[in-house]
Amino acid sequence: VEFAFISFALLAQVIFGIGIFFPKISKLAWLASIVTYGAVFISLVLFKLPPQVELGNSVAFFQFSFIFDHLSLSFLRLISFIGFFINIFAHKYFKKPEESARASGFLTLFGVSMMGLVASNNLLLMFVFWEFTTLLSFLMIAFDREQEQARLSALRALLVTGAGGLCFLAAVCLISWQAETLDLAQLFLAPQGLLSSTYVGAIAFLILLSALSKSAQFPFHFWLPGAMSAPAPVSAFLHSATMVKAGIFLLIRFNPLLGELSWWHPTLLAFGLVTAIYAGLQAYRYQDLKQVLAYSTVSALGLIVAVIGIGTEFALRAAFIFILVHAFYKAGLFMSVGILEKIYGTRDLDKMSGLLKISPILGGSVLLLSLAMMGMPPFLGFVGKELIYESAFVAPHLGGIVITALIVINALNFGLAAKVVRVLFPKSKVEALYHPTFFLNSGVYAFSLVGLLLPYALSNISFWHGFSPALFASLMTFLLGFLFYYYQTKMNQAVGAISSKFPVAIDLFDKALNLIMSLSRNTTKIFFSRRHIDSVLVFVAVMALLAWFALYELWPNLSWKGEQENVSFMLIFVSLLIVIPLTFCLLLKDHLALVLAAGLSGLGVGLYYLLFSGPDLALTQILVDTFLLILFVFVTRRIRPGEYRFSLFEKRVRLFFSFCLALPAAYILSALRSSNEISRISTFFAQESYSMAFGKNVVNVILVDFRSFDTLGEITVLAVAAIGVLCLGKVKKVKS
Amino acid sequence: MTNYFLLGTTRLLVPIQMSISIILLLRGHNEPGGGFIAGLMSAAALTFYFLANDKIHVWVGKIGARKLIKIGLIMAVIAGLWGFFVHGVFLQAVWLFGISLPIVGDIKLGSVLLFDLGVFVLVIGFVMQMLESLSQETL
Repeated sequence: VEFAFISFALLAQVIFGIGIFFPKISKLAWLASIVTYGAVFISLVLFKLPPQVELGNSVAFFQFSFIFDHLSLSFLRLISFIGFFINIFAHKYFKKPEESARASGFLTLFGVSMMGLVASNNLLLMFVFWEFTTLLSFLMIAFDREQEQARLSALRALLVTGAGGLCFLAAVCLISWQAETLDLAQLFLAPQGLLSSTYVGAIAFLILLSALSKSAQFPFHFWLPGAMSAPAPVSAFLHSATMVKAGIFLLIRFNPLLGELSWWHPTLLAFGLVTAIYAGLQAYRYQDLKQVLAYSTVSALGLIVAVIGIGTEFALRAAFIFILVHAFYKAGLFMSVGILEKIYGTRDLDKMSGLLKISPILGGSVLLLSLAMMGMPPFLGFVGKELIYESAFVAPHLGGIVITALIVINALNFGLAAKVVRVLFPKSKVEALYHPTFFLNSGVYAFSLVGLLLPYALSNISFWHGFSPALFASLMTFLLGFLFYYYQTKMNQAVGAISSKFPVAIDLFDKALNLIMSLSRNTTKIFFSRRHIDSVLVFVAVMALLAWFALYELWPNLSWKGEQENVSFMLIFVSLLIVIPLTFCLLLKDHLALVLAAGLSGLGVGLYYLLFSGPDLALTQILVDTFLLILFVFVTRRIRPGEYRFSLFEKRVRLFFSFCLALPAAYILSALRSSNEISRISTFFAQESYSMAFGKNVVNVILVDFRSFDTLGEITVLAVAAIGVLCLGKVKKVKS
Repeated sequence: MTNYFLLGTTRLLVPIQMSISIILLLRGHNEPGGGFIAGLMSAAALTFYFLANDKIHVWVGKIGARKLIKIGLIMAVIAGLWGFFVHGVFLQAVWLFGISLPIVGDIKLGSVLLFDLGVFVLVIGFVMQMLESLSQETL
C-alpha cells in the first residue's frame, strides 16, 4: 500500500506541474492522473491488504510515518474511487483546455493531501495535509477568479477553515507538550499521559472546534453554501464527498481517546442535531438546486456528527456506513447538477423538468441517486438509515427526543430528495441546450450503481432486521418526509419568519471581519506613516528599546576587562575611513554625495573584515556596497528635490534615537569581545568543516552545508523581494 | 547618448569579470568564493554592461530575470531533494566524485555545488530584476 500511496503522491506532483505549466498537454496530465487514481484504488481493493488493525503499526517512509488501519484504509478507498470518476468528469466538464488542466492539477493535488491526511501517523504531518486541503479548497472555490462573489466566498471559507486549522495546530502543540509524542500510534497505545493531564479539556475543545469548522457545523456552517460558487466537479469532490468529511474523520480518529471525557459525546450530539435540523429546514427555502444540495450536505454532516455523539461502537459503524452512503449519492448529485446546468442553462429547480425524456439513462441515474438519498429499501441509504436508528435505540440513556430529532432530520432529507426527483418529470416544455456525452455522465452512472450494489458487496450488512423499532422509525420517516415535501411552502414561510428574527451567521462573521480589518488598519497607521522614512524611525526606536532591555538582562554577566588590543596603523586608517564619511553623511545635503559618502564607509567596513582575516565577508561587503551605490543612483534620480528634508526638531528626534540604539549596542559588543564567553560554535565549525563537509572554506561550508536550510530560506526571501521590486517599478510607472 | 570610453571598457572587462566569477563559484568550497559572491560578481559585470549599453545583456535578456530567479530556486530545492532521497535528510550533502581543473583546482561535484549554482543564478536574476524595475522610468 505504502508503495502505491507514495508513488501516487509523487506522480501527482509531476502531473500538477505539467498541468500548470503546459496547458497544451493537459490531456496527457489528465490521463496520467486517472491512471494513478485507478492504480491506487485497485491496489487497495484487489490485493485486499490486511489492514494493520493494531494501532501500534505504522509504516515509515523516510521520516514520515503512515497508519493503515480500517479507518484510514476505508477513507483511502473512498477518496481514490470518487477521485477517479471526478477526474474524468472534470476533464469533460471544462471547455477550455487551460481550465481543465488547472482543475486536474488542483483536484489531483487535493486527492493526495486528503489521502495523506487520513493516512498520516504523525500529528504534525496530518496538520500539514489538513492545511493543504484548506488551501486547495480556497483555490478551487475561487476557481472563477474574475467573479467577485467567488473570491469573497473563497476568502470566507479560507478564514473559517483556516481558523479551525490553527485550533488543530494548537491542539497538536498541547498534545506534544503533555503526552510528549506526536505519534498517533504511540498516543493510542499509552493514552494515560494525555488523559490525566489538566489540559485534556482544552485539547478536546480545540479539536472539536477545528472539526466543526472543517465539517461546516453550526455556527460555522455558512462557508459551505458559499463554497458552491466552485465549479461542479469541485463541489462534488471537496464540498460533499471528501474535504468536509475531514473534520468527521478527525472526530472518529480521536474518539477512542477523547470519548473518555464525559462532555465529549453529548456536545457532539447537540451540535450535530442542531446543525442537521437547522440546515435541513433552510434547504427548503432555496430554488437553486446547488444551494439545496449544499444545505442538505450540511444537514447530513450534522447527522453524522450526531451519530458519532451517540458514542457506542455500533453507532460509530452506523456513522461510517452513512459516510459512505452520503459520499456516493451526494457526489453523484453534485455532478448531475453540473450536467443539468449545461442542459437547461440554469440551476433553478422550477425551470428544469422532464429530464427522463431528454436523457433517459441520466434521468434514471439521478432517480437512483435520489432514492438512495431518501433511504429507500433496496439502496445502501436505507441500510445506513436503519443502522442509525438501531444504534439510537440500542444505545443506553438516550431520550426519546434524540430519536425524534433523528427521524425529523431524515424526513427533511427525504423531502429534499423528493424536490430533486420532481426535475425528472415533465412540468413545462423545456428545450435541452446540450446533450451530455457518455464520459461526462460516467461518474453519475457509477455512483448511482454503487449506491444500489454496495450493500451486496459488504457482507456484514442485511436489509431485513425484522419488525424492529428501527423499521417503524423508517416508516415514520417516509410519512413525515412526504408531509414536509407536501407542505413545504407553508413551512418555508414559518421558517423564514423565525429566522428573520435572528441575525444571520454570515453577517455576524462579516461584521467581525470588518472590525478586525479596521483595527489592524488603525494599528498599522500608527506604526507606518505615509513616509517610509518615518517607519525607519519606529524601527530604530523599537530596536533601541530591545537593546536597552538586553543590556539590562546581560548586565550582571558583562564585565569590561579593558583588554589592550594591538592597535596597528592600518586599523586606525580603516576606522577613520568608516567614521569620516559617515560624519559627512550628517552634513551633506545633496543626495548623490550622501550616497557616495555612505558607500565609502561601506568600503571601509569591507577593509575592516579583510584586516580580521575574513576574505569572504570582505568580498561580499564590497560587492554589495557597490551594488547599493548603483541602485541608489537609480533611485536618487526619482527623488524630487526637497522631498526628504527634515525640520530641526525631526533631526533632533532622530539623533536621540540613534544614540539610544548605538550606546547599548556598542557597549554589549565590546564587552562580549573582551569576555571569554565567546561562543564556541566557530571553533566547532572550523574543526568539523573539512572532515564532515569536505570544504576548507568555513564560511562557504556553513552557507551551503551546515546551515543550508537557512540559505534556502534566505534565497527564497530574495525571490520574494524580487517580486516586491517588480511591483514597485510597476506602481511608479502607472503614477508617472 | 553612448559613452564610447565606457563601452570600450566593458568589452574588455565584462568577459574577465565573468570568468573570475565562475572561478569563484567553482572553488568556493575550499577558498574564498561561493555562489553568493560569484553571483554578485557576475551581476556586477552585467550591471556594468547595462550602464554602458543602456540595455540588459543579451544572455540574461533572453532568459529573463524572473526566470533566472525561478531556475535558481528550483535548483536549490532539487539539491535539497537529492539529499533527501539519498540520505533521507533534506539538504544533506551528496558527493559524487572529484575532478581537478586548471586554475580552479580540485573540486567535488555533488548536491552542494548544485545548491551553490542555484544561489549563483538566483542572485544574478535578483540584481537584474532590480535594475530592470528601477530603470524603467529613468531610461
